[in-house]
Amino acid sequence: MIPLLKLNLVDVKCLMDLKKIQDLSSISIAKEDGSEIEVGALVRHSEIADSELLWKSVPLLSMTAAGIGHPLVRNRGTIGGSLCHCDPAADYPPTLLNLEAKLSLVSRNSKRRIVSASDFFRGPFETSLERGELLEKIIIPSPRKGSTYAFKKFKLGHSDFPLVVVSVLANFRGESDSIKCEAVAISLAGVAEKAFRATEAEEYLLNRTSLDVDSDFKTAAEITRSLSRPESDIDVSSEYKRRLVGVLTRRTLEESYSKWKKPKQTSWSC
Amino acid sequence: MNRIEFKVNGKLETISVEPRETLLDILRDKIGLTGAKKGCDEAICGCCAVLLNGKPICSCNMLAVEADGSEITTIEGLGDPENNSTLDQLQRAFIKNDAMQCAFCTSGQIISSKAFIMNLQVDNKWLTEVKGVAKGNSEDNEDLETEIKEALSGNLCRCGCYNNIVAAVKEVALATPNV
Repeated sequence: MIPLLKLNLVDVKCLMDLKKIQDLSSISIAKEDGSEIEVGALVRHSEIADSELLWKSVPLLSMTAAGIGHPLVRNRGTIGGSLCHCDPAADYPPTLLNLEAKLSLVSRNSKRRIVSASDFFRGPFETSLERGELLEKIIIPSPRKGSTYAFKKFKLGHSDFPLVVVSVLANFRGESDSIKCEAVAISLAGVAEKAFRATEAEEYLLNRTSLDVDSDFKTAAEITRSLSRPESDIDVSSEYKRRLVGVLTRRTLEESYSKWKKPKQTSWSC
Repeated sequence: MNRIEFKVNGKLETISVEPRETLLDILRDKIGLTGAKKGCDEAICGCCAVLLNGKPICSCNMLAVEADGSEITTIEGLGDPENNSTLDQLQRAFIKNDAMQCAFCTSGQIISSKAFIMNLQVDNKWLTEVKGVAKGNSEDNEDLETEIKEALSGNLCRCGCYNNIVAAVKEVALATPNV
């Protein structure tokens, strides 16, 4: 927000600081059975990245937050601020699309409406937030038991906005020769007007009766690459970005698979 | 003009600020603490880093009015500049390891390093563990140098003192009692 004001990219008559509203600043379990987690709009990226509750229930979100910008930025930036800004290369949207998250918007007289993440992100810097509305919290259904995940992005400088972001949430089942992909969500940012799910690539993997890890992930990555329409910019060409899509998608799928295949022993379990 | 009140290096300050002034502006121009520097003014370089309620942030990226009621620590709040022997451990390590040339980024580097060292003393072994799981590492958790570099990734050094800066922080980290 502040850099936008300094660069005269936005013009505001009045700025209101919401940070003292406690209700918007917590991470909590929304349903007793733990099937839904709520993250307040004012929760900072560093709080999400350091949250024991989130790492144990929705680790893909924590992993996403842990890589945003750099530590000094993460201590100030909030998930709500990032989502409402809706940069097409931002980190959260592909992860929220995979998680099928919902956003609670509140307006005058406590009127509320719930919008799916996919409906909320409309285009570059454009959301479905209406005048007089405030993003209150993000509601996340807990991923299925046994889910695996991975998140990768490519950026030129360490703290730059990414060129390409790939987020994967998946469920695999089976053993050695007969592995099946039961569920998968592949979402991208930075390569279209807004974050999107590569549904054709997902369907390809879901339809494999027996997954050939070596070639099927490559094919899914190729499908994803063909779905991407990145623009060329001052730093890189669209052709380069599309190539990155193919490489990162394959690596992200492979990492999510190997995490499932060889889970690292931890002192806790989900 | 808004009247704000906050603690800087333990001392209560009450000053009038314009809504448009950043925390960096008033620390330097109104309170006279010029340790924090205006490098990029865009929250990229980290030269303006200060601790806000114990957390390192870019003071150029915060309006002064937002600091009302908070506790700020600047580089001047670490150790005592009049008395060499009471320099902070990190400051001594930076000098010993020759971790600066022009020193423009140094106050920001030390602030971020201070936050990293303070964090080492917090019990969050589970966090190191989950981060290892998240990255699908087959080896053990990330080594100390990688963790330091990540913690200081918001502080740029045009003179290129990174190796010595990491060495200085590592020296202090290894001497810090862990939980």
